[in-house]
Amino acid sequence: MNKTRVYITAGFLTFLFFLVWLRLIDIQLLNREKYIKYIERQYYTKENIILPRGSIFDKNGDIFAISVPTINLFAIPKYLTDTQKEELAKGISEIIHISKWKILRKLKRHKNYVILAENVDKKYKDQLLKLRKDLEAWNFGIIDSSKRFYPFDSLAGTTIGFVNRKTGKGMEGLEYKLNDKLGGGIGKILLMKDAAGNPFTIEKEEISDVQYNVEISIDKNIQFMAETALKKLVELRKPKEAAVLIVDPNTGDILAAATYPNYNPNKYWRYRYHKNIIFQNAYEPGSLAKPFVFALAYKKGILKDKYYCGNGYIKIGRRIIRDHARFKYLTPEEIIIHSSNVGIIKIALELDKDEIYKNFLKFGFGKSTKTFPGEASGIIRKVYGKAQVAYMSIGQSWIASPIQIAMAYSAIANGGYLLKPRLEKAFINAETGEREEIPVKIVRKVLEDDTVKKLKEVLKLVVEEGTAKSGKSEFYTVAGKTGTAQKYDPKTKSLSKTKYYTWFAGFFPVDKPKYTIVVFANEPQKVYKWEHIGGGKVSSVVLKELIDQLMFYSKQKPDKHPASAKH
Amino acid sequence: MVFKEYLKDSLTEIKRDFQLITKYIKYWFIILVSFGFTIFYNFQYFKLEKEIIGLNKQKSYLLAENMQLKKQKAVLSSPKRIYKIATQKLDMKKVDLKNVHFIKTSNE
Repeated sequence: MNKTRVYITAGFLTFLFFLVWLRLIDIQLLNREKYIKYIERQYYTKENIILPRGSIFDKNGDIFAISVPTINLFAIPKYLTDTQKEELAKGISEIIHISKWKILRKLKRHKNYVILAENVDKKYKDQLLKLRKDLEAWNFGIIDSSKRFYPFDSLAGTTIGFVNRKTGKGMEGLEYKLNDKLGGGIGKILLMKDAAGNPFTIEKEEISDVQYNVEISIDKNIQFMAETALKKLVELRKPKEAAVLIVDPNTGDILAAATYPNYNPNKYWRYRYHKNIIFQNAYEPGSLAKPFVFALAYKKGILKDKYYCGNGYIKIGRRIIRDHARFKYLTPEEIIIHSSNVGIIKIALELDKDEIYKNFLKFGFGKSTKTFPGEASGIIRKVYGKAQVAYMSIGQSWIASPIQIAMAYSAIANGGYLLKPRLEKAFINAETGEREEIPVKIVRKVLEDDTVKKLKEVLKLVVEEGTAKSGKSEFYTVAGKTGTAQKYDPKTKSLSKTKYYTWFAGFFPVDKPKYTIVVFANEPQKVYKWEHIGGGKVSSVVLKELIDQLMFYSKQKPDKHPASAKH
Repeated sequence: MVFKEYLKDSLTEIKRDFQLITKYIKYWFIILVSFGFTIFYNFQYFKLEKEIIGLNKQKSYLLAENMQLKKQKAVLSSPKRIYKIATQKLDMKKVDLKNVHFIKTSNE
């Protein structure tokens, strides 16, 4: 061999290596993405999986909603022998306790990729992998997934909402509202395909963006108390709909939002009705409107010493509006205490009609609080005639949602400030643990201090001596107002004499209010034939159950000092 | 005879080739060491990757376990369940405020 030949051969080989090297640079650096996509198309397939979402905690850190990691089992039956199918079905059935025949049917009916079981507890993964190894059933596989779980079942069901089990996204309630923060939804999982295009092994998962856990203002114990009390009301009065709403008047925090009908988010598909009537429906408030007319008249200084309430009715044009009793003469305070329609209409007719309308708007009526998805704004329109003024002042002809009522009464409780209701208290970054607090928001000052003082005195008497006395507490002072609105009857095209909306809205204890409560029922039934349906009687079962319990739960001493209580 | 000469020529040629190879021995050495290092590096790399995969798997299991425990804890702390145990098993009654003694603190 001479030197020249060696150099030529070496040079030729070096040149070949150089070409290979250039090609490698082309594949791995210059056109890397293009080739990865090409390989993915040829050798991989993407399958959908449900991604986990952030958790929802109550104000004490208890979990209301959690995504539990689960596994889905899949197989490609055409690569499994009949014996393997039998053994596999038997093995899976023994491990995860589902019917062997159900699995076997799937294995026999399908040729290609088939899901055998969904949302299986992840603790079975090792046993299932061992089964695969023992049977050498390499075309049986496991994919990680997740399942939304609500540990308290129906507790605050309509408020929490639910996640669609197929799409992994929130469909109702807070779950829907917080889709952007909680994450979840459908993710892709990359499966390697064989030559025939069937997936056989998992390569990687695509995970969603940064997730947040959400702390809400609901207190699970107060929610439970509210639901228990509501259950008693529903059993006794059999209404079409009912609700108990408890709010902290100083922060606007919604502590409990109990609704009937309600549902269990773990089995949401079994229920037809998914509405939260506290936020998403609006009703005529009836006499709950009277204190706001009273407040305006008090502020204007136009209240007389006494009003003649006649024979229990007032005629405005061709319309006659009746009272529930004949009061003759009533002071302005007594008009509220006994809830006289005639009295409050007489006061309202002395006020400017535009001012009455604007006064209701000022308290937040007619405008959504934007706290809940699909929230009702309520409807309140400008009034022109005397009859319209009369109906507006007694809470007929306009509608408000229970949350609007609660915030308006909270304004009386907290010294005159209208607050934005708060349902989400903080967002917590699931990775870093960083907290983003949602501050208390004051919308505006709506009542002067002297008006607040006057209203508190009057509303306290409503509960002590007036229409709400059947719900008063022996130990704690309560201020509030009852409301009974006649429902519109489309058959007679007039207000019904048998169908009502009944309300109670109030707060306690009166001096330093800790809770605002709204009790609502749509078409409550009479317990006795002779009974007159009214907000006071219907709500009393809830008030009696709740007030003392709530105050004891929050370690508050009685402020009424009854003779029977020990001090 | 012919074979002997052929063998001699071949040996001479091998010797010459060997001399040429020995002339570049340091380069061969560098190539071999580089290969050796690459193999060692890859071995370590795959060993570490395997370890990372194992730890990730363990992490995933522990996270799943943690979530399951959180779920179970939440189920156990359900007010409905506690209320049922308190009233049905332990025969507890709701508090009657008439029987509660409230103590006044010094600053009240």
